Amino acid sequence: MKKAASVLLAVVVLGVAQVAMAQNPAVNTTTIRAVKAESLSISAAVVPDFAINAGGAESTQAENLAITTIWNLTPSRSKVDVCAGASNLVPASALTNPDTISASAVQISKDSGSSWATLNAGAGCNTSNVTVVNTYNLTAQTDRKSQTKVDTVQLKLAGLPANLQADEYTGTVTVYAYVQ
Amino acid sequence: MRHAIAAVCLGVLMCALPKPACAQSLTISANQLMFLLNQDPTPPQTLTITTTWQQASSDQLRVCLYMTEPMVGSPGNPTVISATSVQVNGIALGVGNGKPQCGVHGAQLISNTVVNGVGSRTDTPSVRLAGYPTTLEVDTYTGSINLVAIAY
Repeated sequence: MKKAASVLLAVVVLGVAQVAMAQNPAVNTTTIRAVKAESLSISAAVVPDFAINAGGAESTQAENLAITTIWNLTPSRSKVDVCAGASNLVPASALTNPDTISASAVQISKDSGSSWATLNAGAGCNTSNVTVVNTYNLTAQTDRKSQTKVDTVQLKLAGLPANLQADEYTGTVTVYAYVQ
Repeated sequence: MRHAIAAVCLGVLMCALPKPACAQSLTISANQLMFLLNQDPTPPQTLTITTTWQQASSDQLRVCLYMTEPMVGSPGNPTVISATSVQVNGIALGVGNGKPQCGVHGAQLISNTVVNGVGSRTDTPSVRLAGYPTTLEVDTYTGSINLVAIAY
């Protein structure tokens, strides 16, 4: 009889302890997330005016185009392309001067004037009629995180018609940054 | 006589057990939170904590929060958001008031009420991220807030 009472006591105590462990304290977790978003921007400095001599087929000199690209990208990104393209240059006196300078006259050099190519002759940055100015391969965290890059190329006008009317011609260079 | 001794022993042992043994059920849960790291501190968000109970007696119910690990990003990203940058009602988690709450050292006490019978309560502390590193890599950072409800 004494033995039976001890067994009963053990069963009761074990049962109570199990309930206590299962219910009190109650614990749980909830997830907290924070997102630092990517950023990518590009800008270009104003290109100084080109001078064209009367009857000249080219601008008298090349001018620098400085392109600044700033990014902060996720670890999954592998490269950033920087591209540039030009529009036609239209005269200030468009109502009376029908001449234009074709975008194909805008030439680019990426090697300080050693070689030249038509700015709009290629494709890149997920668009056409551009030149890929530079490609940045992103292999390390330092390549992706808070980067500022400046690419300086040279532009000139070439293949101009000899009979181009004297005027001020204005066009636009568009710069692109494309991340993959 | 033997029965009387056994009954006394049982009573002594039951009393020696911690009072939480009397809790019949107790649960705690909360919503998830997501912050955009475009300003420091971030705008606060409400953490809605729901605690339910079924108590046999009148008990003190405490609800606490704490973090033990920082918020981490993708594999290979060495930058983290420390638990001390997670502020609840303006106080950094993982710091608390220096003494144990809800049986956890460094936990932050959110509420302390008397409960009885069957019921539930909702606590809505304000959570924000403050003082996180400016050098954080662009990424999604994930961590866990631990929730504790204890009746005693």
